[in-house]
Amino acid sequence: METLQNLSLGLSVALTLTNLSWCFIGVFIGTVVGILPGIGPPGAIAMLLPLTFKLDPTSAFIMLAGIYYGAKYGGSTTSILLNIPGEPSSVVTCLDGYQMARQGRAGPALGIAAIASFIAGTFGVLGLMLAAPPLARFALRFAPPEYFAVMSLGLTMVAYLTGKSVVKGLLATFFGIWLGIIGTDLFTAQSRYTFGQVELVDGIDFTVVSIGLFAVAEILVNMESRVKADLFKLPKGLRNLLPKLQDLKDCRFAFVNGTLVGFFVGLLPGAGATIASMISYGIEKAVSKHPEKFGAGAIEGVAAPEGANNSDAGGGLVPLLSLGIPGSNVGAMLLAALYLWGLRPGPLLIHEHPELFWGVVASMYVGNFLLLILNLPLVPIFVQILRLPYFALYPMVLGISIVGVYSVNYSFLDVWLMGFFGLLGYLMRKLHFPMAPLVLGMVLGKPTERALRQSLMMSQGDFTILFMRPISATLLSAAVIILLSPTVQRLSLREKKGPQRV
Amino acid sequence: MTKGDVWAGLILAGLAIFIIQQALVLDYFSEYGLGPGFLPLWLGIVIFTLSLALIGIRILGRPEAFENEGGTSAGTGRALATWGGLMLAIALLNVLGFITSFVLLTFLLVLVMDRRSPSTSMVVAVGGALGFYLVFSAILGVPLPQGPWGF
Amino acid sequence: MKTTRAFIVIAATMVVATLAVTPVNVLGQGFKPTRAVDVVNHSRAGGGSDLFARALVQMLEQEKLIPPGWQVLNKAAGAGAQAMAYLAEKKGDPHTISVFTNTWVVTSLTVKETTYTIDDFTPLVRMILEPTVAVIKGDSLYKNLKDFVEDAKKKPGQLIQVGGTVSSVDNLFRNLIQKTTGAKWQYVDVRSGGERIANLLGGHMHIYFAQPAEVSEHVRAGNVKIIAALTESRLEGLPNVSTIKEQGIDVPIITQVRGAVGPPAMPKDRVQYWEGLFLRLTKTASWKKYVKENEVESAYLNSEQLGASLKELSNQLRETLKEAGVKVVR
Repeated sequence: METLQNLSLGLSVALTLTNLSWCFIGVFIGTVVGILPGIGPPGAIAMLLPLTFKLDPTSAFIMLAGIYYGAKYGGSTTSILLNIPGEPSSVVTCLDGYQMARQGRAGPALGIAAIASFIAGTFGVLGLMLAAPPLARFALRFAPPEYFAVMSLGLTMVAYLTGKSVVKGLLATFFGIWLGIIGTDLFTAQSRYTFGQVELVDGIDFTVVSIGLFAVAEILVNMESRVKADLFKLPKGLRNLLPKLQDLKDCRFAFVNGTLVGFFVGLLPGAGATIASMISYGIEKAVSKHPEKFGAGAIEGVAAPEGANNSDAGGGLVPLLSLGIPGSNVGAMLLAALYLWGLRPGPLLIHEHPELFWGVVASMYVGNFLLLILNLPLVPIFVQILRLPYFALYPMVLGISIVGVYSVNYSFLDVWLMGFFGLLGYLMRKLHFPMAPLVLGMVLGKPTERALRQSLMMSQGDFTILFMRPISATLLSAAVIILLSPTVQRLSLREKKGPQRV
Repeated sequence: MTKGDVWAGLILAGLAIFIIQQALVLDYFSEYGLGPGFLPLWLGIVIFTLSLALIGIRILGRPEAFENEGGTSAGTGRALATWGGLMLAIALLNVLGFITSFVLLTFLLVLVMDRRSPSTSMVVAVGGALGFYLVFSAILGVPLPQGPWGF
Repeated sequence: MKTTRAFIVIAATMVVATLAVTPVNVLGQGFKPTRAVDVVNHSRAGGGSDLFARALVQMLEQEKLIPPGWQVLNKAAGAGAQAMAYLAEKKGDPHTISVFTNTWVVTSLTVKETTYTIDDFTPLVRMILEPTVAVIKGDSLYKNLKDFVEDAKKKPGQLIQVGGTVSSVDNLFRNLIQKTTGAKWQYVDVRSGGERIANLLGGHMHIYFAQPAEVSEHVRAGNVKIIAALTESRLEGLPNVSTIKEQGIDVPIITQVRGAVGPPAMPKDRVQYWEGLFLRLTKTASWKKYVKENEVESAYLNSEQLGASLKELSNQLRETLKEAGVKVVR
């Protein structure tokens, strides 16, 4: 009952004309920021922050939160249409989303991304609303050993992403891990593989690698043949511009999977949406009846990571609003905003400023709904991009890649590296090295190392700390089971496949 | 692509040796537990082993992953030429600024690689550049690299 | 696209304001910026230095000491290295300054890739000193830092301190205290302040040397308590918390410094402008409110004093870093 009362308080705050407008402005800016690669929500929020000082803090927070979760909707657009990951967390969306676009299913891909985002985003807010304080306490049970277990679980997803050659898949994974550890070692401040470059002291930005490997490499592959007329099958008729009922049915599990994985990973400070989207993609492929379709345009492969990416926002706000602990860069920015507005974000915020907490929660239901009705009509418009002749399209993709990478750190070295990774991606495609494991290794390698070393610092070098704690022991056992199961699956598949082949 | 795999294996083995050699300079243990050299050393060893395995599998001809995209050498040439153009444009970013480099790159790519008329190429190049200027510089205020003429 | 319009309005105001001040320069009454100034910092958006730079600009604007439109630039790579390289490039440019912290000094001492060090820049002003306090979980039995140290002596290596990088002030304090008291405890380096508090609240780690503002809300909620001020004298906002020296642990005090530096070899008249501007800021109501809310100490020093103080800090940090087992390259 109390929750309902509070929610009606929240709705009375969120549904005023002013706050509705700010919510719309926030999600609109968020969508734009998400679509454009390079410019992320932290940068956008920093830019707008000075303009919010004249606003009421609740209105301002409603708008900034709108940018945060709105950007997650937009991130899939360029991934699906142009193979340019708009945000790090939508790299996984490229794998199947772009293939769907190639097959004339850009509309359904964009549509399912919006729908999955809406479902997961809404359930994420529901979780935030119903159980923020107990969930935050649950998240506190995660210390480095538990993080190590989560990351290991994420790394085992490689088993499902390797493609046909296990050796090549593993090589790609370990190469990715190596790319990830370039930079200053957090614990000793020693440089690793920085080649004496100041710009590399902080490591290579993930955006640089992913835009090179996906967007640039794709163009190089397409440039091989002079005639590229049939590159994109164009969708015919309005009906094919949105997902069909069958598509929604196919994605039933993906919605649940994405929602849960995203929300729980979001709860953990410092884990992040990129990891959430990868884990949910791995799970989706692992349980799928047709895993061979993943990477070749499986609609679940778009729905699961996009869902995870969005419920991560709700999860991430749990520790932020109920404890004052930010889990990401955006979270830190939002926390800073609360300070600058003269509020005191912390464990007492929900009690002392219920109108803020419940207003934001209610506005997120509204915002997710606004995003759905904002994004679905945009789908047919965005799909028109593919009608451009390819000779006019790919220079734009190159331009967006350059600008996107440059605007991350304003570093020329980053742009050079993007070019280098473009060539690398091209060669990998020619030699059938899979892309997904490299990306996974790069995202998860360093956090896994960090968590392992932190765990051993806690235990004075005793490895048993990883297995003696209930949560980490459970997660690590799950990882072992996942590692063993594809081998079993493969054997049974081989038996089945024999007679089935026609 | 047998040859390609062997080359990839050799290059990766070389990289692995570099990784190991650098890892040996870093501390394996530190006062705070495992040192910065722990992961790179093992990473190097694993990459080295795997790359030898890749070469071995190829030479011994195990039928694992024997598919070929069948690109022609002319096709590869076109891809590499495009890449060369991109890298040249990146090199010019610092000197000519983004807008000018982009116009040059696009004009040349469309003209040479796609055999379109000079006027079509120019329209695509200038139109695209205008779009970038409007969206990124004018509306979003992203400081794009500038040339000596202020854009 | 409301933002764009707002920016255009700001830009226009700026131009007008600029035109208005130009004659003053012609009369030769010292330097004044003729266009919007870029304030560089070494954090990403939302990081400590980023927030400090934004707060400075916001307060200067609010107090009408500068025209609106000054930009904050993030050069986050390499813990200050990229910011230093950028600022060095701006030699001779009167419209770029940067905020700095101890990190610049530590990076100068420990990162061999940096081509520039803190000594290359023109010191402008010191603005604040950030005190450090020792924090434990609310239900912990220790009453003060001394109790913690005694317990650590009884079970060496079993208590865990959570903190920032090994070259951060918190780990340097740990090394200094360990050396004078003979106690030993573990140090775990956790990336963000939020995760550090989470580990403390979860009971996984036992002590955290924090800045008061970071934990004040948790103190208010009773989740954590402050057991010592690692400062020379008691803090104004925490009159009941005894200092580390009062508790009988005699260690040199390292303080987190925040201030501003300019590009190398800045002419005297420009330095005077910045000294004057920031000195005026410290007298305003906005500044007093900022200092109180963030529980920091307003500690203005002019260019010459800052130069001397940075040299001292550099020497002190070099010794402590070496003791902490961090490789010092300069």
